[in-house]
Amino acid sequence: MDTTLVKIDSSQLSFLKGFSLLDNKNLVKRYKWHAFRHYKNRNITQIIGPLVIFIDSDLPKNVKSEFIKFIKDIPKINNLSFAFTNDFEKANYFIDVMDNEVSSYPYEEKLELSEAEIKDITFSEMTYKFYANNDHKLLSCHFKISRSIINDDLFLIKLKKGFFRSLGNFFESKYAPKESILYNKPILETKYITDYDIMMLKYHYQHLYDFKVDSEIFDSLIILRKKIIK
Amino acid sequence: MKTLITILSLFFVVNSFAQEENIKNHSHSRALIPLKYYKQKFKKPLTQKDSLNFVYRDNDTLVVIENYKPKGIRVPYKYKDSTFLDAYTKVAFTYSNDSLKNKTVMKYWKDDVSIFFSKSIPKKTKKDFMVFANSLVNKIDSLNINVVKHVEDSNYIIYNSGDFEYESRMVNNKESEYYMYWNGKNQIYKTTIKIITSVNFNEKTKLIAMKKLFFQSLGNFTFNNELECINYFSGCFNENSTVSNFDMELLKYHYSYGICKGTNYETFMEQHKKAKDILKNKNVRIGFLHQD
Repeated sequence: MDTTLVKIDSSQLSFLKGFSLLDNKNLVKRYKWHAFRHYKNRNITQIIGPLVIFIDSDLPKNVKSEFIKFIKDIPKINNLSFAFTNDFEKANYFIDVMDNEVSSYPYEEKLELSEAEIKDITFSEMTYKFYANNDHKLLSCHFKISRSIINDDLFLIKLKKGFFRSLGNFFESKYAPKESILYNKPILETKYITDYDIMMLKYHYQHLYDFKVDSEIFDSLIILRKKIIK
Repeated sequence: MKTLITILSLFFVVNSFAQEENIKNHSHSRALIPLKYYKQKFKKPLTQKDSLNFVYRDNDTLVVIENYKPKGIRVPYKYKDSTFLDAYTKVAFTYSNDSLKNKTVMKYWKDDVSIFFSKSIPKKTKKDFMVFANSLVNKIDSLNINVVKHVEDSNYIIYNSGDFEYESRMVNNKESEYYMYWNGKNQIYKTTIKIITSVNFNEKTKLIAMKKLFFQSLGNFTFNNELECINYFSGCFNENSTVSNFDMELLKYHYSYGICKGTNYETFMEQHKKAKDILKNKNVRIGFLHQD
């Protein structure tokens, strides 16, 4: 039988013809910051299939309804869609209120954070854990929240920011617009998803890559795109 | 470490074409064995007569053994092209940082796989898992699986975090993984899958992890992202993934006795080169002798 080995070949790059977003240097620079920061070995991680979200019933009702509204307001993005389920077994995205304290910071590191920092950092009392295949495609996500924060003033904003970041494993930035979900502080003005945030999602989900994409390969794609459209 | 089976397989490689010559000239069986393998297998000093009868061939010193009648099953060499072998070696031997290490060893199950599920695993999950597991194993003659009710009858355990800790070495695991034991012949004799329920939180995601880990544990396989995504071996698996024809070819080849089992990468490639050279130059298909 024929063997089926592939490297990245021209057929895998045909999507570049339609990837006009890569021509905008300013936005590309920002997207790269959110996707890779300065890490050379960080790969783009994308969620495959529709996101089927199960929300823990312990989440306060008003928070839950605002949060659902926030997700429903996200406009249609290629290769990304959302659904909600009450059937736990159908979910691939679980928003879970935990009795124990959770954080993306290791215990010792969290102890060193000041109160103000804890307030400003999105994942000081939340975290998420992906289950991915070996192609860097995310198959499921467990989003964990410390019960102790669910009634805090900034909790809803942090939840929106945390959820949004999980969609692309994004980094926050102080260079993002202040109203943006991706701005590096939870401020009360952060209420809706902004055009900037939507653009970042579009960059991320324009194409589901069938090869590994780190910042170096992403730069190569930009150069290839330029050659293709010449 | 060169295993017994490696030694014996090489033994037969040499023996087989030695016999080709002997049939014409002698009424008894005569074997020619490379000196280094003779020392490993027989562990007795060579006599002066042995030394006088050395045969020199292709930079190898060969020892003559008269009346040699090896026990075991002879299986003809299974020819595969270099593209196939490239794909196979990258999944069967440890492939990382774009290179294969010479000393990495392929592993395989010799005995039947007897699976014990912990009580926390629901019937439906077990059933769906076994459909997948059987789809892998049914087409491989030398590999069988069954489900057992008692843990002491098993050599393969699947359990969830929070259950009794069946494998103490996985007590601190943060990811769903398997832990595997093999003997000196690189035959796997025990494996345990532990599913971390905070990562794989519902039965759907637990099943994806169980399937992936079981698939890998059939040969301690590494995924090869150079393969097309339709192949499970590419690592692009998801909840709907099935096994492709090419996956089956790779699995069947891994469990075929037309290759040496339990060898390291270096030996595996040397044997292929030798077998292909003989096939090309002498039009003789060599065989592999498997004694256990």
